[in-house]
Amino acid sequence: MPDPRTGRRPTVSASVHCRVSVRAVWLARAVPWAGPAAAVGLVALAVLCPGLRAAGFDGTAREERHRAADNWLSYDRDNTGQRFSPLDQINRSNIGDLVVQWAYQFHPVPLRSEATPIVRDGVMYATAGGTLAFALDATTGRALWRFDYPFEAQGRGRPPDWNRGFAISGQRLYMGTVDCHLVALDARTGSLLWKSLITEEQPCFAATSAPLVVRNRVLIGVRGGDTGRLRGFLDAFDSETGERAWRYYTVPAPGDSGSETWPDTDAWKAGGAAPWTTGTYDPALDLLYWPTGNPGPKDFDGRNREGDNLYSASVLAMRPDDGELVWHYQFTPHDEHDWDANETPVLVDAEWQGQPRKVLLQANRNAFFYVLDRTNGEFLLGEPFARQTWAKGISPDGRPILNPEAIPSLQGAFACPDIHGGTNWHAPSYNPGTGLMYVTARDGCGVYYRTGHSIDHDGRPARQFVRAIDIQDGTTRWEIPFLGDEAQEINHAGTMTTGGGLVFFSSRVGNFAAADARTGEVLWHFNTGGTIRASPMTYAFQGRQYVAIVSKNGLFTFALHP
Amino acid sequence: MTLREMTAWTRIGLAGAVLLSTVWVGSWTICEASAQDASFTGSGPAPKNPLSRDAAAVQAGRGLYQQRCAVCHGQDARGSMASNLVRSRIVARGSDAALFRILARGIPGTEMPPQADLEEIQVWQVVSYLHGLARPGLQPPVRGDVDAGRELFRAVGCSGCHRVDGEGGFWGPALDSIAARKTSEQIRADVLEPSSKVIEGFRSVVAQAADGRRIEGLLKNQDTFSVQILARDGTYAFLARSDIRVLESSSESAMPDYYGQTLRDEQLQDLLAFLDRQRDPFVPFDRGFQNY
Repeated sequence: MPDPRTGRRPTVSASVHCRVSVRAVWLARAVPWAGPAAAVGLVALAVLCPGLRAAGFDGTAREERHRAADNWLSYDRDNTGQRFSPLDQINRSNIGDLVVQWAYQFHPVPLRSEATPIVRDGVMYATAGGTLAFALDATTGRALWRFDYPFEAQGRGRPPDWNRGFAISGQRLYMGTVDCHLVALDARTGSLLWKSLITEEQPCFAATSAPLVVRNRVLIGVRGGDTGRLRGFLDAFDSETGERAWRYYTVPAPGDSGSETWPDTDAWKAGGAAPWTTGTYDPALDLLYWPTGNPGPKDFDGRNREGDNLYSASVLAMRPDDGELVWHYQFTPHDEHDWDANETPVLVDAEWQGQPRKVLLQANRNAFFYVLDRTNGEFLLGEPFARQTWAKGISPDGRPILNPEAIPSLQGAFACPDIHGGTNWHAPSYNPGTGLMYVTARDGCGVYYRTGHSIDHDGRPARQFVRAIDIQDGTTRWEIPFLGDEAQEINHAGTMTTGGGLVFFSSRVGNFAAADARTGEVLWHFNTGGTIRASPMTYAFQGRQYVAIVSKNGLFTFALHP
Repeated sequence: MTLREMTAWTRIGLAGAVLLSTVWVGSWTICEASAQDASFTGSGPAPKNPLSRDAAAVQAGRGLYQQRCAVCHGQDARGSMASNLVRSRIVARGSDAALFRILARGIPGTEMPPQADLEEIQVWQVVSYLHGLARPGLQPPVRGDVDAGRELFRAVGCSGCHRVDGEGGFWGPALDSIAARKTSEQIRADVLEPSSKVIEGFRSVVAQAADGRRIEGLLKNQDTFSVQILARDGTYAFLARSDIRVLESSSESAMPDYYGQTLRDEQLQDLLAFLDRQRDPFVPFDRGFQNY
């Protein structure tokens, strides 16, 4: 197993012992706490491992720790949102030997495939489009069961036929659906246990995010913040019965805290702020971190919603038991550019600017990279990571200093980033070994009208990148520019990083690739032959590490050539 | 519009339609064409089914089917030398009249002969039987005490393996949609003679691995290179063929075959009435490879 810092490959005989110790070092530095599902094993590993090399250890405990490291149990692997796996069998020195192991093709062909599969103990659970779900032997890709959700049609036209995958708890799998239900399936057989309507009292525009499980709560929000008809909310359901435990409206009603940021009209009833992606959770602080979308009723014309429009384009820190709001931070007050803040709030414990801190990192669609103190929401840093003209900077109190020329107008106002943002919902990742956050970024500009938006490249075409952001100061340490056909087209493919010192990323035209996490040197690539609009994951089973990515009509899995 | 005037997509669509109609549903097109020129008697309006879908007609139709059709289309009409009629578009969605015409005239140019020696009423009986197979929802509900049946479902052990409404075990197929997929006759047969047809994916299996392990469970999937087995504790075992010394799969269902003896007639009727109400359109399970 090579050392992740030097890339040297030790002798084969040392590899088993060494893997445990390398993981331990990485983990001790990386995740002294972690999400509850993966947490038990990880924490034990982090705490115990430095001593293990000398002390020797009990085989069963070792097995369990291995298993925790081997699994990928939620959309972002664990509840930190880091998308960092300690697995290092596939690493910088041998990535050239990575080959396809198996593929699984979706039928019928979904409109979009945005899901990240999850893997527990060698079984992969994945969704395709908005209705198909299946379990596969993760070593061969052979199907164990398949479930096809017969959704209830919502009005006319093709529904948003995609979701981003499962959450798992015990023998239950949870999936959001195109008709706004939370569905629970038996993980062993794929049979339906229950389905609960999410959108009671609100119109349905689909539940596309992967749910998050915290203890006995299953959390999920909905999309629809651009429709001018939705008052956003986050729902918590009982993980066993499917009963709703609580609902938190992300737009306060008149009289509630935050309602002073709305005019004295009915605008709040269509105030948007949809939490349409998956949040994260810190078990030590018992806080959920959930990002919200743009305000309504109109995306680009804020004249009928004067004020900051809380809690749109924000991150909310909440109690999982009852949905109590503990603190909030609004990235884009009174957003008029459709810059949802639905990017992953990544939770990291690190030495930050000389002090050990519990921080929350977000590379926001508004092109700024933020560092917050996640214990209290204190703003620590806000620096651009992609081309932007809308703000002159972020003031020390965390409020953006606006450029008035970038505000949408009747004649059109030029502003960067364009509607697609400096990044978007697709997952970023953070590697504790490098201290870098890996973001699929876009440099692009547009003209914003009160009635809409047109992409105007200011004579320069938009460009797509993978950027490595130093979390200490927000600077870009390296970038990988996409070229040719994939240089300009909006890329909704996320990243994933590993203990093998690698970062995996993908492109619009279907290239799946890996780079050195320290330098950005591209070491490996593979053409999947279909648009990638998802984020990669990795897992191990029976001593073998795999990497998987969903690409348009299929799912591809890779491992080292034996 | 000439071919030249069509857009590229129209041409592709047309070509696809022609290809589909000639290759995929060739027989269907042929019989539709023949159905348009004549009825059973050779002329006049489309015939109407004089039979309600009563049990006697279905039963008679089943007898006729077994004598004449089963040899090619299979005992259960799921296809053998000739096509699967349960999945057939014309059986599932076509009118009674269209099916009647095919039976009466045969499909020229194929092995499907006309049933010219049958009485008209007998042809309708076969039509009733086939439509009942493909569209079980059209059957009249099974008589019996549904609540008593629900109680029996728990009391006699069905729910230990089968799930209904999210309650029950995972060892057998979930039954929420059973009556939407099967006729009451088939369900009755499944209860009384579970081993007459074991559903793939629920077959009991024992694998002896080359390393000495013995793995017992349900054979969920197998191919030329690998085998996937679900164990009683809900975990999966994956084996490469090359690592298996012996793989013994049972021809017997894991379900007990004594319900015919242990249940009184009215109890069985109540249980069947309960199962007959399980018409949830959800497809609760599907083996992964069936989608191709």
